[in-house]
Amino acid sequence: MNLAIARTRANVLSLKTRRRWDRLAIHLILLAGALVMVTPFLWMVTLSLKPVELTYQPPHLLPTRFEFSNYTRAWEAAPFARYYLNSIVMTGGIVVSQVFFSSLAAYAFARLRFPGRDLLFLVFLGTMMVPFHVILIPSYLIINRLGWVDSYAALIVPRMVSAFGIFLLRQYYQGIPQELDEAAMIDGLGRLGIWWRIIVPLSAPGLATLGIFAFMFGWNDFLWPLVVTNDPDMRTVQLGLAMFQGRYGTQWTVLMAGTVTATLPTLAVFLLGQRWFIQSIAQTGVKG
Amino acid sequence: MKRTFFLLSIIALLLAIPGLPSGFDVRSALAQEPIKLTFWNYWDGKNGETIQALVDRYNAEHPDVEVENVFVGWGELLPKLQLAVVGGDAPDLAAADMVWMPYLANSGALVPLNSFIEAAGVDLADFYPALLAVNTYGDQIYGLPVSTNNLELFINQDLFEAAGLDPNTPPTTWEELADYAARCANPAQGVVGMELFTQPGEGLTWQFQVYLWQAGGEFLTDDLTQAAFNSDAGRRALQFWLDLIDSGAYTISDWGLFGQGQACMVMDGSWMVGIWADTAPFKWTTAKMPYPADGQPATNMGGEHIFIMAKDEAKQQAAWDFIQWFTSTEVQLEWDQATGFMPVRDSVATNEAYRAWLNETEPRLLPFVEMQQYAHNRPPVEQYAELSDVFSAMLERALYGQMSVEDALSAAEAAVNSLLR
Repeated sequence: MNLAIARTRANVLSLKTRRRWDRLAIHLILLAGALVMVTPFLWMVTLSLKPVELTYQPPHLLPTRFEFSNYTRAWEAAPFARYYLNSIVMTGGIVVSQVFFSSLAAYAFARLRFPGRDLLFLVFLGTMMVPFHVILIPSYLIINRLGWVDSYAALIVPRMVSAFGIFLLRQYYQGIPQELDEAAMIDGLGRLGIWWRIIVPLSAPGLATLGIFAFMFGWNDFLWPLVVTNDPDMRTVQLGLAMFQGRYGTQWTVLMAGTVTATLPTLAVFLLGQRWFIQSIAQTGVKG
Repeated sequence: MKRTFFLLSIIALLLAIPGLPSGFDVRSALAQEPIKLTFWNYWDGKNGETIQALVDRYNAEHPDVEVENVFVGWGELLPKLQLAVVGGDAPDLAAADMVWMPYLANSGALVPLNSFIEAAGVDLADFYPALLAVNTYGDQIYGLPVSTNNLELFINQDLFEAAGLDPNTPPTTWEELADYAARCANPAQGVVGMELFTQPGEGLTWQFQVYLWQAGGEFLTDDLTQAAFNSDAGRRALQFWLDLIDSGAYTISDWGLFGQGQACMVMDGSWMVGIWADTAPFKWTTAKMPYPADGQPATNMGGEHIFIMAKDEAKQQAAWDFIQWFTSTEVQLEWDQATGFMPVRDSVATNEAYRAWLNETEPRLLPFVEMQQYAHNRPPVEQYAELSDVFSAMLERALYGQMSVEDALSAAEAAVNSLLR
């Protein structure tokens, strides 16, 4: 019997040490992964702080010189104040409208019963499979016929609804107990009331997640703004950055300075919403 | 609750449509409105400032016309032109990379300039014929060259002197080039004697074409229907590159060694004169690109060509007037001095004031100016980008020793011919 106890104890011990080793291994892998992810960003920051003549000198990952003039040069190279304004208006419009419309549509798909609901939902999902490049020219032609080229309408309206947003929120809403709806209904709330008073407050993490996705989509979008704007006054930040890559050479240090600045809003939004973001991804199991 | 909801909906709707077009322009109702022209180009930095200043001056001198200079990035200009043609909101005129001209001319969106040129009595003979060739399809001329550049030899003076070579007596033949390169190379310090472009893509193709032409070869046949590089000249040029590698004068690596001070010599574009004048942390000079003792001088060229896309006849005429002004010897002299572009007209290249200016401010541009007359154009076929890709991919295999010179050129010939068919 002593032997049996000893053996069990040994097993427990070895299990503990093995767990520790496992955890160490996992952390090492994560650390390596983090390093791989962070290095390009670090290099971007370093390059943005270099004087031009050192651009191609042996790469130090950490900055050794601090040439902040790259930042002012990037800012002055083009009317970036106007570009930021355009990006903010466009991204703001996309975020607000996507969250609003996706939430309404997702509520309908999750709660209402009507003929063809699931088929309709599948059709929505199916649109996610169509690559944007396929509909680029038709979309552009529609905007063109509407006379919307060079307007905020062109930048926002075609992206007010997203199938992904509807899908994300529908999955989320299905996790909210139906009994809450029923209780509210007994208390006399209508459909819209239930959506506004019950569903929306309970799905804050889901809405925040969609908001972050929509923000990143809008802020980083390049092709659509490129296509529907001709007037330099309607350009967005991403279009402005592309200008630093010219036919006769790229101004790397200035380009990187501009890119660092343009990345900050995304970083801020992500850090602010990170808690909700991870929570809701874990709940719905949606891949980003 | 209801009110909040309606408020939200209204905010969302308002956000969605603030940019609706006004649709009515008061000024268009007024008579004597100047003709407005939009002009797209990708000139940035100093080039961009110069074109803006020229356009401003043109507008001031021509109150009946208002040219709007719109910068569109180099990477974005061609796709934007393509879409604008589809959507019918193309600019009235544009200046674009010469290698896009076959594609643009065949799109049907460019206005033939023949009648304008005849009416204005422009002397086309003053423009370099190779530059005009990329604009001419059948009897129609679809554009005029406004800026160009070519490839000549850059020499790192510091490395030359360290190797006991005199940068003031640069190599003039391939034999001397190989000899200088072998003597200047310093593998221990990662210094190559002569940098070559060895990654697949247009970079390799357009560099190699110079050697091909210098050896007396051609890239395509005159009628542009078949490959012509699988010839004695082609084999000789490729063998010359292989010899540079075998002798240790060049070690295959990523392009860009010269700018990092790791190559004694490189063949690169005239636009690099301005860039390296500002950024190279070493002394350097330029020379004419050496060619075989029994070969001929040749170089490759790039640059921009200007063309009209306006549908309206009054606009076409106004756009042509601007083009005629911009391509005139007088304005071109000013443009080339401000930007460092190579002359597109002989009357500019041989202009005494221009030569004097070069000698005084940047004599390192002289070899480029003198060699512009020997510049060839890349074949003006629509499939050029694909041709260049397959050609360079085969050449790369020869450079890595995976294929013989003969096999690589034959394989490239077959691939190019099948693309042209």
